[in-house]
Amino acid sequence: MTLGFIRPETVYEAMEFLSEHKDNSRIVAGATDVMVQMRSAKSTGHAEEKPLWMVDITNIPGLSYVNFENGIVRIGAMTTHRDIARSAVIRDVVPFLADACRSVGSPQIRTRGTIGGNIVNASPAADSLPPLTALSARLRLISRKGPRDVALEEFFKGPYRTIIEPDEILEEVYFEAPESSSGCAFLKLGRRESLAIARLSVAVLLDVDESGKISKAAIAPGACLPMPARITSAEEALIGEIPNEEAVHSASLEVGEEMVRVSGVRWSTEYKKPVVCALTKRAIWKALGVDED
Amino acid sequence: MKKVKAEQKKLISFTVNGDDVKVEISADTRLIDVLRNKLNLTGTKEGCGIGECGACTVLMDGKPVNSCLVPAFQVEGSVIETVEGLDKSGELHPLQEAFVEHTAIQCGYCTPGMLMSALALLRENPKPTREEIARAISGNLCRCTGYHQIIAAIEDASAKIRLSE
Repeated sequence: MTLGFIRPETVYEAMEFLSEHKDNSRIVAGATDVMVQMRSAKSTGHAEEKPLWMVDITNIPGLSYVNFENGIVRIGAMTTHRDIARSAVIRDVVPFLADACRSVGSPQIRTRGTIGGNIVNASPAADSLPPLTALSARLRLISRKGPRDVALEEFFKGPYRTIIEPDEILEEVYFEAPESSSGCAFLKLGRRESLAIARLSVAVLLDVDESGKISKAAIAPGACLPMPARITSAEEALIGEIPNEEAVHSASLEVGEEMVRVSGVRWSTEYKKPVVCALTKRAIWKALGVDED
Repeated sequence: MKKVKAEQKKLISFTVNGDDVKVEISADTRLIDVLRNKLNLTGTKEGCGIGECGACTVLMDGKPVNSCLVPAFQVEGSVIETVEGLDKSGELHPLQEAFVEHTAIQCGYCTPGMLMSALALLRENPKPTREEIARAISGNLCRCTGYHQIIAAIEDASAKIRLSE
Protein backbone atom coordinates (compact mmCIF):
# COMPACT_ATOMS: atom_id res chain seq x y z
CA MET A 1 0.00 0.00 0.00
CA THR A 2 1.24 3.45 -0.82
CA LEU A 3 0.93 5.73 2.10
CA GLY A 4 1.18 9.49 1.84
CA PHE A 5 0.46 12.51 3.92
CA ILE A 6 -0.58 16.07 3.47
CA ARG A 7 -0.41 18.87 6.00
CA PRO A 8 -2.88 21.55 4.93
CA GLU A 9 -2.57 24.93 6.61
CA THR A 10 -6.14 26.04 6.17
CA VAL A 11 -9.48 24.34 6.49
CA TYR A 12 -10.12 25.26 2.86
CA GLU A 13 -7.03 23.34 1.67
CA ALA A 14 -8.05 20.33 3.73
CA MET A 15 -11.61 20.36 2.35
CA GLU A 16 -10.28 20.77 -1.19
CA PHE A 17 -8.00 17.74 -0.85
CA LEU A 18 -10.68 15.65 0.84
CA SER A 19 -13.19 16.36 -1.90
CA GLU A 20 -10.64 15.24 -4.52
CA HIS A 21 -9.60 12.11 -2.64
CA LYS A 22 -12.84 11.09 -0.99
CA ASP A 23 -12.34 7.37 -1.07
CA ASN A 24 -8.81 7.14 0.17
CA SER A 25 -8.21 9.87 2.70
CA ARG A 26 -8.04 9.67 6.42
CA ILE A 27 -8.06 12.70 8.68
CA VAL A 28 -5.34 12.63 11.33
CA ALA A 29 -5.28 14.86 14.40
CA GLY A 30 -3.86 13.51 17.67
CA ALA A 31 -3.27 10.17 15.89
CA THR A 32 -3.76 8.12 19.06
CA ASP A 33 -6.43 5.95 17.41
CA VAL A 34 -5.24 6.22 13.79
CA MET A 35 -1.71 4.97 14.57
CA VAL A 36 -3.04 1.91 16.36
CA GLN A 37 -5.54 1.15 13.60
CA MET A 38 -2.91 1.54 10.86
CA ARG A 39 -0.59 -0.80 12.69
CA SER A 40 -3.24 -3.49 13.03
CA ALA A 41 -4.28 -3.05 9.36
CA LYS A 42 -0.66 -3.65 8.38
CA SER A 43 -0.15 -6.69 10.57
CA THR A 44 -3.36 -8.40 9.49
CA GLY A 45 -2.52 -7.80 5.84
CA HIS A 46 -5.81 -6.09 5.21
CA ALA A 47 -4.10 -3.06 3.81
CA GLU A 48 -5.76 -1.73 0.70
CA GLU A 49 -4.20 -1.58 -2.74
CA LYS A 50 -5.04 2.05 -3.23
CA PRO A 51 -2.81 4.78 -1.90
CA LEU A 52 -3.99 6.09 1.42
CA TRP A 53 -3.58 9.78 2.15
CA MET A 54 -3.37 10.91 5.71
CA VAL A 55 -4.74 14.42 5.95
CA ASP A 56 -3.04 15.90 8.98
CA ILE A 57 -5.11 18.79 10.33
CA THR A 58 -2.78 19.70 13.20
CA ASN A 59 -1.20 22.49 11.15
CA ILE A 60 -4.53 24.26 10.74
CA PRO A 61 -4.80 27.03 13.31
CA GLY A 62 -8.04 27.89 15.08
CA LEU A 63 -9.56 24.45 15.64
CA SER A 64 -8.60 24.21 19.30
CA TYR A 65 -10.69 26.32 21.66
CA VAL A 66 -13.29 26.36 24.41
CA ASN A 67 -15.73 29.27 24.08
CA PHE A 68 -18.64 30.15 26.31
CA GLU A 69 -20.94 32.82 24.93
CA ASN A 70 -24.67 33.46 25.19
CA GLY A 71 -25.17 30.29 27.16
CA ILE A 72 -23.56 28.06 24.51
CA VAL A 73 -20.31 26.18 25.11
CA ARG A 74 -18.33 25.52 21.92
CA ILE A 75 -15.34 23.21 21.81
CA GLY A 76 -13.10 23.11 18.75
CA ALA A 77 -12.62 19.59 17.36
CA MET A 78 -8.84 19.79 17.79
CA THR A 79 -9.04 20.58 21.52
CA THR A 80 -7.14 17.92 23.42
CA HIS A 81 -8.52 15.98 26.38
CA ARG A 82 -5.78 17.60 28.46
CA ASP A 83 -6.96 21.10 27.56
CA ILE A 84 -10.62 20.27 28.15
CA ALA A 85 -9.89 18.67 31.52
CA ARG A 86 -7.98 21.82 32.52
CA SER A 87 -10.40 24.35 31.00
CA ALA A 88 -11.82 26.67 33.67
CA VAL A 89 -15.07 26.98 31.69
CA ILE A 90 -15.56 23.23 31.35
CA ARG A 91 -14.68 22.57 34.99
CA ASP A 92 -17.08 25.25 36.11
CA VAL A 93 -20.03 24.78 33.73
CA VAL A 94 -19.93 21.03 32.94
CA PRO A 95 -17.51 19.42 35.40
CA PHE A 96 -18.59 15.90 34.36
CA LEU A 97 -17.14 16.53 30.90
CA ALA A 98 -13.86 17.59 32.50
CA ASP A 99 -13.93 14.37 34.58
CA ALA A 100 -14.61 12.27 31.49
CA CYS A 101 -11.77 13.83 29.51
CA ARG A 102 -9.48 13.47 32.53
CA SER A 103 -10.25 9.73 32.56
CA VAL A 104 -9.16 9.14 28.96
CA GLY A 105 -6.14 6.83 28.58
CA SER A 106 -3.11 8.38 30.23
CA PRO A 107 -1.44 11.80 30.49
CA GLN A 108 0.41 10.97 27.26
CA ILE A 109 -2.80 10.10 25.40
CA ARG A 110 -4.62 13.16 26.76
CA THR A 111 -1.79 15.41 25.56
CA ARG A 112 -2.41 14.30 21.99
CA GLY A 113 -5.93 12.88 21.71
CA THR A 114 -8.65 15.32 20.71
CA ILE A 115 -12.34 15.52 21.46
CA GLY A 116 -13.08 15.58 17.72
CA GLY A 117 -11.16 12.34 17.27
CA ASN A 118 -12.96 10.78 20.22
CA ILE A 119 -16.31 11.63 18.62
CA VAL A 120 -15.51 10.65 15.03
CA ASN A 121 -13.75 7.41 16.00
CA ALA A 122 -17.13 6.47 17.51
CA SER A 123 -15.93 3.85 19.95
CA PRO A 124 -18.84 2.67 22.13
CA ALA A 125 -16.44 3.10 25.06
CA ALA A 126 -15.38 6.67 24.21
CA ASP A 127 -15.22 8.61 27.48
CA SER A 128 -16.36 12.01 26.20
CA LEU A 129 -19.53 10.66 24.60
CA PRO A 130 -21.76 9.96 27.64
CA PRO A 131 -21.51 13.53 29.00
CA LEU A 132 -21.86 15.04 25.52
CA THR A 133 -24.92 12.86 24.95
CA ALA A 134 -26.43 13.89 28.29
CA LEU A 135 -25.87 17.51 27.23
CA SER A 136 -27.68 16.90 23.90
CA ALA A 137 -24.59 18.21 22.15
CA ARG A 138 -24.59 19.09 18.48
CA LEU A 139 -21.81 18.84 15.92
CA ARG A 140 -20.80 21.18 13.15
CA LEU A 141 -19.44 19.42 10.08
CA ILE A 142 -17.87 21.37 7.26
CA SER A 143 -17.05 20.54 3.67
CA ARG A 144 -16.79 22.35 0.35
CA LYS A 145 -20.55 22.01 0.08
CA GLY A 146 -20.92 24.13 3.20
CA PRO A 147 -21.52 23.47 6.88
CA ARG A 148 -24.17 21.24 8.38
CA ASP A 149 -25.16 20.76 11.98
CA VAL A 150 -26.28 17.42 13.37
CA ALA A 151 -27.37 16.24 16.78
CA LEU A 152 -24.75 14.02 18.41
CA GLU A 153 -27.32 11.28 18.90
CA GLU A 154 -28.03 11.22 15.16
CA PHE A 155 -24.35 11.15 14.26
CA PHE A 156 -23.71 7.49 15.06
CA LYS A 157 -24.76 4.50 12.96
CA GLY A 158 -23.16 1.82 15.11
CA PRO A 159 -19.87 0.96 16.77
CA TYR A 160 -17.11 2.90 14.96
CA ARG A 161 -19.59 4.03 12.29
CA THR A 162 -20.96 7.52 11.80
CA ILE A 163 -22.81 9.54 9.17
CA ILE A 164 -19.81 11.78 8.44
CA GLU A 165 -19.10 12.02 4.72
CA PRO A 166 -15.55 11.29 3.53
CA ASP A 167 -15.11 14.91 2.48
CA GLU A 168 -16.36 16.38 5.74
CA ILE A 169 -14.38 17.66 8.71
CA LEU A 170 -15.76 17.92 12.23
CA GLU A 171 -15.22 21.55 13.17
CA GLU A 172 -16.74 21.79 16.64
CA VAL A 173 -19.05 20.29 19.20
CA TYR A 174 -21.39 22.62 21.05
CA PHE A 175 -24.13 22.48 23.65
CA GLU A 176 -26.27 24.67 25.84
CA ALA A 177 -24.76 25.21 29.26
CA PRO A 178 -26.96 23.56 31.90
CA GLU A 179 -28.74 25.74 34.48
CA SER A 180 -26.46 26.77 37.30
CA SER A 181 -28.82 24.92 39.69
CA SER A 182 -28.13 21.60 37.94
CA GLY A 183 -25.75 18.88 39.03
CA CYS A 184 -23.83 16.35 36.99
CA ALA A 185 -21.62 13.30 37.39
CA PHE A 186 -19.53 10.97 35.26
CA LEU A 187 -18.43 7.64 36.66
CA LYS A 188 -16.27 5.14 34.85
CA LEU A 189 -15.29 1.63 35.62
CA GLY A 190 -12.19 0.22 33.96
CA ARG A 191 -9.98 -2.77 34.70
CA ARG A 192 -7.58 -0.38 36.40
CA GLU A 193 -7.47 3.32 37.20
CA SER A 194 -5.39 4.47 34.26
CA LEU A 195 -4.72 3.25 30.76
CA ALA A 196 -7.99 1.39 30.82
CA ILE A 197 -10.80 1.46 28.33
CA ALA A 198 -14.15 1.96 30.04
CA ARG A 199 -15.88 -1.33 30.75
CA LEU A 200 -18.88 0.67 31.87
CA SER A 201 -19.49 4.33 32.41
CA VAL A 202 -22.41 6.62 33.00
CA ALA A 203 -23.08 10.34 32.75
CA VAL A 204 -25.91 11.95 34.66
CA LEU A 205 -27.20 15.52 34.42
CA LEU A 206 -30.04 16.58 36.76
CA ASP A 207 -31.86 19.72 37.70
CA VAL A 208 -33.91 20.17 40.85
CA ASP A 209 -36.58 22.90 40.95
CA GLU A 210 -37.48 25.21 43.82
CA SER A 211 -39.90 22.71 45.32
CA GLY A 212 -37.08 20.19 45.57
CA LYS A 213 -38.35 17.97 42.77
CA ILE A 214 -36.18 16.70 39.94
CA SER A 215 -37.27 18.78 36.95
CA LYS A 216 -34.79 17.67 34.31
CA ALA A 217 -32.82 14.47 33.94
CA ALA A 218 -30.43 13.15 31.33
CA ILE A 219 -28.82 9.74 31.78
CA ALA A 220 -26.35 8.41 29.23
CA PRO A 221 -24.40 5.22 29.89
CA GLY A 222 -21.21 4.37 28.02
CA ALA A 223 -19.49 1.19 26.85
CA CYS A 224 -22.64 -0.92 27.12
CA LEU A 225 -24.61 0.28 24.11
CA PRO A 226 -23.56 0.09 20.43
CA MET A 227 -23.72 3.87 20.28
CA PRO A 228 -24.38 6.71 22.68
CA ALA A 229 -27.98 7.19 23.78
CA ARG A 230 -29.99 8.60 26.62
CA ILE A 231 -32.16 6.24 28.60
CA THR A 232 -35.49 8.07 28.65
CA SER A 233 -37.26 5.45 30.76
CA ALA A 234 -34.65 5.97 33.48
CA GLU A 235 -34.97 9.74 33.21
CA GLU A 236 -38.77 9.49 33.52
CA ALA A 237 -38.39 7.47 36.71
CA LEU A 238 -36.71 10.52 38.27
CA ILE A 239 -38.62 13.47 36.88
CA GLY A 240 -41.14 14.94 39.31
CA GLU A 241 -39.67 13.05 42.25
CA ILE A 242 -38.15 14.53 45.34
CA PRO A 243 -34.87 12.58 45.39
CA ASN A 244 -35.48 9.30 47.17
CA GLU A 245 -33.86 5.88 47.26
CA GLU A 246 -36.75 4.13 45.52
CA ALA A 247 -36.88 6.45 42.51
CA VAL A 248 -33.11 6.33 42.13
CA HIS A 249 -33.23 2.55 42.35
CA SER A 250 -35.90 2.18 39.67
CA ALA A 251 -34.08 4.63 37.38
CA SER A 252 -30.93 2.55 37.73
CA LEU A 253 -32.84 -0.66 36.95
CA GLU A 254 -34.12 0.94 33.74
CA VAL A 255 -30.54 1.51 32.60
CA GLY A 256 -29.70 -2.16 33.19
CA GLU A 257 -32.86 -3.30 31.38
CA GLU A 258 -32.17 -1.05 28.43
CA MET A 259 -28.58 -2.30 28.16
CA VAL A 260 -29.82 -5.89 27.90
CA ARG A 261 -32.63 -4.92 25.51
CA VAL A 262 -30.27 -3.15 23.10
CA SER A 263 -27.05 -5.13 23.45
CA GLY A 264 -28.54 -8.55 24.19
CA VAL A 265 -27.58 -11.07 26.82
CA ARG A 266 -23.84 -11.69 26.69
CA TRP A 267 -21.40 -13.72 28.74
CA SER A 268 -20.69 -10.56 30.71
CA THR A 269 -24.32 -9.62 31.39
CA GLU A 270 -24.45 -11.39 34.75
CA TYR A 271 -21.73 -9.02 35.91
CA LYS A 272 -22.50 -5.93 33.91
CA LYS A 273 -26.20 -5.59 34.65
CA PRO A 274 -25.97 -5.18 38.42
CA VAL A 275 -22.81 -3.14 38.05
CA VAL A 276 -24.28 -0.65 35.57
CA CYS A 277 -27.24 -0.27 37.96
CA ALA A 278 -24.92 0.39 40.90
CA LEU A 279 -22.84 2.83 38.85
CA THR A 280 -25.98 4.69 37.74
CA LYS A 281 -27.24 4.94 41.31
CA ARG A 282 -23.95 6.36 42.50
CA ALA A 283 -23.84 8.81 39.60
CA ILE A 284 -27.40 10.02 40.30
CA TRP A 285 -26.62 10.63 43.96
CA LYS A 286 -23.37 12.33 43.05
CA ALA A 287 -25.19 14.59 40.59
CA LEU A 288 -27.61 15.42 43.41
CA GLY A 289 -24.66 16.40 45.56
CA VAL A 290 -24.83 13.38 47.83
CA ASP A 291 -21.62 11.38 48.04
CA GLU A 292 -22.66 7.81 48.78
CA ASP A 293 -19.23 6.54 49.73
CA MET B 1 -3.04 30.47 -3.37
CA LYS B 2 -0.29 27.90 -3.02
CA LYS B 3 -1.55 24.39 -3.00
CA VAL B 4 -0.19 22.00 -0.41
CA LYS B 5 0.90 18.73 -1.94
CA ALA B 6 0.59 15.24 -0.64
CA GLU B 7 3.96 13.63 0.01
CA GLN B 8 5.31 10.17 0.67
CA LYS B 9 8.76 11.14 1.90
CA LYS B 10 10.01 14.33 3.42
CA LEU B 11 13.04 15.87 5.04
CA ILE B 12 11.84 17.20 8.38
CA SER B 13 13.66 19.51 10.80
CA PHE B 14 13.18 19.64 14.53
CA THR B 15 15.26 19.79 17.69
CA VAL B 16 16.22 16.87 19.89
CA ASN B 17 17.69 17.64 23.30
CA GLY B 18 18.63 21.09 22.06
CA ASP B 19 20.28 20.02 18.79
CA ASP B 20 18.80 20.88 15.40
CA VAL B 21 18.36 17.77 13.29
CA LYS B 22 17.15 16.97 9.79
CA VAL B 23 15.81 13.52 9.03
CA GLU B 24 14.19 11.92 6.03
CA ILE B 25 10.92 10.26 6.96
CA SER B 26 8.17 8.33 5.21
CA ALA B 27 4.45 8.58 5.77
CA ASP B 28 4.47 5.59 8.10
CA THR B 29 7.54 6.56 10.14
CA ARG B 30 6.82 7.09 13.83
CA LEU B 31 8.65 9.44 16.16
CA ILE B 32 10.15 6.47 18.01
CA ASP B 33 11.57 5.10 14.72
CA VAL B 34 13.23 8.43 14.03
CA LEU B 35 14.75 8.58 17.50
CA ARG B 36 15.98 5.02 17.69
CA ASN B 37 16.81 4.13 14.11
CA LYS B 38 17.76 7.43 12.47
CA LEU B 39 19.27 9.33 15.38
CA ASN B 40 20.56 6.36 17.34
CA LEU B 41 18.88 7.60 20.52
CA THR B 42 18.08 4.14 21.81
CA GLY B 43 17.39 5.27 25.38
CA THR B 44 13.72 5.55 24.41
CA LYS B 45 12.24 2.06 24.53
CA GLU B 46 9.37 0.54 22.62
CA GLY B 47 7.08 -1.59 24.75
CA CYS B 48 3.60 -2.19 23.43
CA GLY B 49 3.65 0.04 20.35
CA ILE B 50 0.01 1.00 20.88
CA GLY B 51 0.17 3.65 23.59
CA GLU B 52 -0.67 1.44 26.51
CA CYS B 53 2.62 1.16 28.41
CA GLY B 54 4.40 4.52 28.25
CA ALA B 55 7.90 3.02 27.84
CA CYS B 56 8.41 5.23 24.77
CA THR B 57 7.43 8.47 26.52
CA VAL B 58 9.33 11.56 25.38
CA LEU B 59 8.50 15.24 25.69
CA MET B 60 7.14 16.98 22.63
CA ASP B 61 7.03 20.75 23.08
CA GLY B 62 7.35 20.14 26.80
CA LYS B 63 4.47 17.69 27.14
CA PRO B 64 4.67 13.91 27.59
CA VAL B 65 3.67 11.87 24.52
CA ASN B 66 3.90 8.24 23.47
CA SER B 67 6.51 8.40 20.71
CA CYS B 68 5.05 5.21 19.20
CA LEU B 69 1.82 7.08 18.45
CA VAL B 70 3.27 10.24 16.92
CA PRO B 71 3.54 10.20 13.13
CA ALA B 72 6.95 11.61 12.27
CA PHE B 73 5.46 14.09 9.81
CA GLN B 74 3.84 15.86 12.75
CA VAL B 75 7.23 16.35 14.43
CA GLU B 76 8.37 19.02 11.94
CA GLY B 77 9.41 22.15 13.83
CA SER B 78 8.80 20.71 17.28
CA VAL B 79 11.04 20.42 20.31
CA ILE B 80 11.69 16.84 21.41
CA GLU B 81 13.36 15.82 24.65
CA THR B 82 14.48 12.28 25.39
CA VAL B 83 16.17 10.58 28.32
CA GLU B 84 19.56 11.21 26.66
CA GLY B 85 19.04 14.93 27.31
CA LEU B 86 18.76 14.54 31.07
CA ASP B 87 22.38 14.34 32.16
CA LYS B 88 24.61 17.33 31.63
CA SER B 89 28.27 16.64 30.74
CA GLY B 90 28.34 13.34 32.55
CA GLU B 91 26.44 14.56 35.63
CA LEU B 92 23.24 12.68 36.26
CA HIS B 93 20.04 14.68 36.54
CA PRO B 94 18.69 14.78 40.12
CA LEU B 95 15.82 12.57 38.97
CA GLN B 96 18.26 9.98 37.65
CA GLU B 97 20.30 10.13 40.85
CA ALA B 98 17.18 9.66 42.96
CA PHE B 99 16.08 6.68 40.85
CA VAL B 100 19.45 5.04 41.53
CA GLU B 101 19.39 5.87 45.25
CA HIS B 102 15.87 4.57 45.75
CA THR B 103 16.35 1.44 43.63
CA ALA B 104 13.52 2.71 41.48
CA ILE B 105 15.02 0.69 38.64
CA GLN B 106 14.81 -3.05 38.40
CA CYS B 107 14.72 -4.33 34.84
CA GLY B 108 15.00 -0.73 33.69
CA TYR B 109 12.81 -0.93 30.63
CA CYS B 110 10.21 1.55 31.88
CA THR B 111 12.79 3.91 33.38
CA PRO B 112 13.45 6.29 30.44
CA GLY B 113 9.72 6.88 29.95
CA MET B 114 9.15 7.13 33.68
CA LEU B 115 11.89 9.78 33.96
CA MET B 116 10.40 11.84 31.15
CA SER B 117 6.93 11.80 32.71
CA ALA B 118 8.50 12.79 36.03
CA LEU B 119 10.46 15.60 34.36
CA ALA B 120 7.29 17.02 32.79
CA LEU B 121 5.59 16.90 36.19
CA LEU B 122 8.36 18.64 38.12
CA ARG B 123 8.63 21.45 35.59
CA GLU B 124 4.94 22.18 35.94
CA ASN B 125 4.60 21.39 39.61
CA PRO B 126 7.91 21.60 41.51
CA LYS B 127 6.35 20.37 44.76
CA PRO B 128 3.96 17.57 43.88
CA THR B 129 2.12 15.43 46.43
CA ARG B 130 2.52 11.65 46.24
CA GLU B 131 -0.91 11.51 44.67
CA GLU B 132 0.05 14.01 42.00
CA ILE B 133 3.20 11.99 41.31
CA ALA B 134 1.18 8.78 40.98
CA ARG B 135 -1.16 10.53 38.58
CA ALA B 136 1.70 11.95 36.50
CA ILE B 137 3.22 8.48 36.00
CA SER B 138 -0.15 6.75 35.56
CA GLY B 139 0.58 6.38 31.85
CA ASN B 140 3.82 4.49 32.53
CA LEU B 141 3.59 0.83 33.41
CA CYS B 142 6.24 -0.77 35.60
CA ARG B 143 5.99 -4.49 36.17
CA CYS B 144 8.90 -4.80 38.61
CA THR B 145 8.95 -2.18 41.32
CA GLY B 146 5.35 -1.85 42.44
CA TYR B 147 5.82 1.90 41.94
CA HIS B 148 6.61 2.80 45.55
CA GLN B 149 10.33 3.30 44.97
CA ILE B 150 9.62 5.32 41.83
CA ILE B 151 7.22 7.63 43.64
CA ALA B 152 9.69 8.01 46.53
CA ALA B 153 12.49 8.81 44.06
CA ILE B 154 10.47 11.50 42.31
CA GLU B 155 9.46 13.00 45.66
CA ASP B 156 13.08 13.06 46.78
CA ALA B 157 14.27 14.53 43.49
CA SER B 158 11.69 17.30 43.69
CA ALA B 159 12.99 18.28 47.14
CA LYS B 160 16.63 18.22 45.96
CA ILE B 161 15.86 20.29 42.88
CA ARG B 162 14.05 22.87 45.02
CA LEU B 163 17.00 23.04 47.43
CA SER B 164 19.50 23.57 44.63
CA GLU B 165 17.53 26.44 43.10
